[in-house]
Amino acid sequence: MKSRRFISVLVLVTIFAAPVAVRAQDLTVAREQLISERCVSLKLLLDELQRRDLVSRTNLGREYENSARLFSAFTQRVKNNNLSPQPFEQLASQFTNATAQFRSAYVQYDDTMIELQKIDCKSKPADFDTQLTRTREFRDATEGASTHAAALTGQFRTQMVQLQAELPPQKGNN
Amino acid sequence: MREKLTRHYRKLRRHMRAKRLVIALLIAIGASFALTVVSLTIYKVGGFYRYDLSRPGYEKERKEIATTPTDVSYDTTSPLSQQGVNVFLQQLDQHRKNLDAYNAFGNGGLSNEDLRLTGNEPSALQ
Repeated sequence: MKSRRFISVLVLVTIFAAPVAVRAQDLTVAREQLISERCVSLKLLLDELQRRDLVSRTNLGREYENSARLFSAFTQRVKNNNLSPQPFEQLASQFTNATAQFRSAYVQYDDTMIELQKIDCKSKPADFDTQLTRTREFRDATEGASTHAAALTGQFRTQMVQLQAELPPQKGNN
Repeated sequence: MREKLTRHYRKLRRHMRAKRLVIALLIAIGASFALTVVSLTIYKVGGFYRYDLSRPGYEKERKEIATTPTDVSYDTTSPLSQQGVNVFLQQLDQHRKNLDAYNAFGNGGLSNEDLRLTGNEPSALQ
C-alpha cells in the first residue's frame, strides 16, 4: 500500500517537474547560443570594463592612502593633546584592514576576469557563463570591500564631530 | 712548465691592462642587461604589469587618473580646537566625496543588461 502511494507521488512529481526541466534546459541553450553569437562584442565590453576598473582601482588606492594619512595625523594630534585616541586608532586600524581587503579582492577579481577573457565564448559558451558568474561574485566582493572602507571613513567622521563638540571653539593655530 | 705558466699569466695581465676600458664597458653592459632581465621578470611574473597604466595602449586611461595631491602635510602638534577639527573635517569630506566618485564597482558592469545578454526575451535569460 505504502509503496503504491510512493510510486504515485513519484509519477506526479515527474509529470509536473518534466516541463519545468525542459524549459530550464531550453533557457540554458538559448543563453549559450546568445553568448556564442555575441562573443566578439562581449570580449570588447569586458576589455573596456577591465580598463575602467583599473582606473577606478588606481584612483581608489590613491584616495585610501590620502585618507589613511589624514587619520594617522588626526590621531597623532589627539594624542599630543592628551585626549583619548582609542576610537580613532581603532577606526584607523579597521580602515587599513578594509583597504587591504579591497586590494586583495581586486586582485582576485582581476584574476577571474583574465580567466574569463581567455575563454573562447564562441566554442565554449557554457564555460564562459560559469566563469562569468564567478567573476560577478568577485566583483561584488570588491564592491563590498570598498563600501566597507567608505563606511569606516564615515564612522571616523562621526567620532571627529563628537570630539569637536567637546572642544573649545578656538584654542590652537588651526 | 712553471716559467711557461708565469709567462702566460704576465701576457694575460698585460693584455687586460691594455684593454681595461673595453672590459669595464663589457662588464657594465652585462650587469645592466642582467638587472633589466631580473626586473622585467619580476614585473611580468609578479603580475605588476597588470596595474601599470603607463603601458602603451593605456593613454586614455592615464588621463582619467586623479591628480589630487598626495603630499599634504597636517599639523599634528598644535592644541586642538573646534576650528582645528574643522580643517581635518573639510579634508576628510573631500576624500569621502572622491571615494564615492571613483568607486565604479557598484555600477553593474557585468550584469546581463550591461553585457547585452538579455536577448529578445529579457526575463528568459536572467
